[in-house]
Amino acid sequence: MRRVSLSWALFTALWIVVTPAVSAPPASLLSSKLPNIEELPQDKYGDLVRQGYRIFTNTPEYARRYSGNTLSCSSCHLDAGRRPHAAPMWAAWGMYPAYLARSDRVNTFEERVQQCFRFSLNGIAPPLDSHEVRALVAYSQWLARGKPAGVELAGRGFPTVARTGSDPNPLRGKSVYAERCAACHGENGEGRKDTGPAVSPLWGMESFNKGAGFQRIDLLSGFLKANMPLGSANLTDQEALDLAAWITLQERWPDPRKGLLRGLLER
Amino acid sequence: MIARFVNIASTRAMRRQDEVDLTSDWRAGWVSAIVMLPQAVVLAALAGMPPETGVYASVFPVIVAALIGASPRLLSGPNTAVAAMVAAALTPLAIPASGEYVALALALTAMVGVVQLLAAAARLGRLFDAMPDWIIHGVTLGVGLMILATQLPVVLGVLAVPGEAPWVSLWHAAAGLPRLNPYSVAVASISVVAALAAKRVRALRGTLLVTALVAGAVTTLTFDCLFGADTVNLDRVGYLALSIFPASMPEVSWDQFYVLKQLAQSALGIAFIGALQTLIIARSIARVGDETANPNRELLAQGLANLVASFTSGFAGSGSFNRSAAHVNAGARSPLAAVLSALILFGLVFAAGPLLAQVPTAAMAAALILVGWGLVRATPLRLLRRNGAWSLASTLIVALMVVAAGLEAAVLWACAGGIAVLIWDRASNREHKKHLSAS
Repeated sequence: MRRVSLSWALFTALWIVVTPAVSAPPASLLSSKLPNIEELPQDKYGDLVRQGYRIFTNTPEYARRYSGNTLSCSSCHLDAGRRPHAAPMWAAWGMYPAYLARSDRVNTFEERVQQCFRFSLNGIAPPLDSHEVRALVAYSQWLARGKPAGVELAGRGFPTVARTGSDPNPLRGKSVYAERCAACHGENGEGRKDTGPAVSPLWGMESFNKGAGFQRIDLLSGFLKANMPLGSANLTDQEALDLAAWITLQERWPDPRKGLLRGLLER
Repeated sequence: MIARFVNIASTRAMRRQDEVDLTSDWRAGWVSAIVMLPQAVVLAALAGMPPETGVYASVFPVIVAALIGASPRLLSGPNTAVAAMVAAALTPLAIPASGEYVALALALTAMVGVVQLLAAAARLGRLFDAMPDWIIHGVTLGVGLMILATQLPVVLGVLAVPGEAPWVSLWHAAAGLPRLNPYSVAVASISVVAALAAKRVRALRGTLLVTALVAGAVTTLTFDCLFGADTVNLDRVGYLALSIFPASMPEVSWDQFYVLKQLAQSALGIAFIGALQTLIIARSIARVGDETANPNRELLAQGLANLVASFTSGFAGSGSFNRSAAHVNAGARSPLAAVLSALILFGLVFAAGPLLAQVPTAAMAAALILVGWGLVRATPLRLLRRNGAWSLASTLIVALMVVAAGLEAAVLWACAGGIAVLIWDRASNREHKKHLSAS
């Protein structure tokens, strides 16, 4: 679980506009009982959920057909999509279909999963009726069992970092990165996969593309503030903003919403 | 292992022929591999199977069928009618391309193999040979019409509903017109136009489907560059995960007897249609001196090929008419050509993987529409009419039944009809003879 943050895209944007900032998750939320994959029954439903869990935690292997980089769903949705303030699936499930500003229409949960494949996983969107989408939907629904639907649950999406009064500064972010992040994520944000637990790449060819939610400073800084460094999240608000500014400045694949020609020329 | 296969093949070839022209077999191997590559992926899609399985089904069973079969120039592997029947059999039981579906397909394929082996052991080859032509013509015409109908929504970019009767797709397409994806329609049209244009170019003749798929992939990539992949929003084949030795185990659970019963029924139909097609093709490409008058040997080869398919992650197949024809035209002389084509295909797929991943579903639908149109055009309606109005009517009835009631039902009724006709002929012959001897 030493994976770092990546995308959860635009619906959070909408949410962030409407909800006030969340500073720290309440203790009750962290200790609330989350379903355990071992408790699943050995039937067809259980099989589909287990397949969803495998795809979720090891996307490049189990959804190889559509995955375009080395990231997994659980790279951003930490703790296999269960951790609050890291876009947990149990909080997202009941909020779809939802209007998303990015596509200017109402998107279903399945379509939202397709967007993750296209942007954060920089791959091919799986067909709506594909096995991968069905398994991921089943897994999310299973995580959300017993939770109210259509209700904004505490811990949904990523928190918003409060205004600090000073602009995000990528150069300060660069030195924070070298101090706090480079040990695991590498000097050049390349991540780590050979030795020790795998760490996600933060930029470059194997990371999310410019259309992903984490290419937005507001979303990425919220995630960093709430979750990084993994296990002992203690960045200040300003550090999180500076880091996000630095990371989003790095090279990565262009935004698939634009033509590749335009995307390569533009920032 | 490869060397051994080649060895067996070439010794067999030498035994068969006075002179072995290796270069012409080599050339035919290449031509067939290029014809087979798009069919492997497209027919896997038609069968509702992952694309990898189509590749495996075009390699291992093809080698086995070529080495054992009686007809040295017959090419087996995935077949349109058989693939459509696999889908018709399994879509009511599982979601296409899921793990469950693949497991059921393996079991079904093994059953088809066993049925064909039993038929070979019981020396039923002659029975297949005596079956009236209208069964196979009706089924192929019906499959052609069915493909045209079911691929129309895919071309429009509308999600199809699996397991519906074929004519419902036409309605889905009409109902989906307001939300069609213009990029999808453009890609499919360009694929079809490119394939038809390739028909006129001598160098590209016979590579109809390759041209369609390449044109579709290139068009999609161009659209991506111009408008962005998210705007264009086309489903694609995706990255393949191929393995050199894809061992699999066909398993059936006796607890689920209702599933088994259904599979067995489908396996009978598939074994019947597969064997029927193979024997007709073998007859049509036979040369003077070939031992094609051995339908039982052909049945044995098909049965073993299907069994091998079920142990190498493939799915049921049979002799393929268009591939065999291309194979023969390219100068294939011995089974070595078929073995070579399978091995070359395997190598090609590994090389073409990155391009294959970008092939859009719309281009696959375009390729299938070309295949379907080919089946419809290949139906010798005029010849059937000459054979009598009854023969033509039976063909059309079977075809319409495929479209209206589904492939499975149509095939089973056609089988029953064919056997009834055989018995009737036999009985009236006997009557006739009695009459003759009495007078």
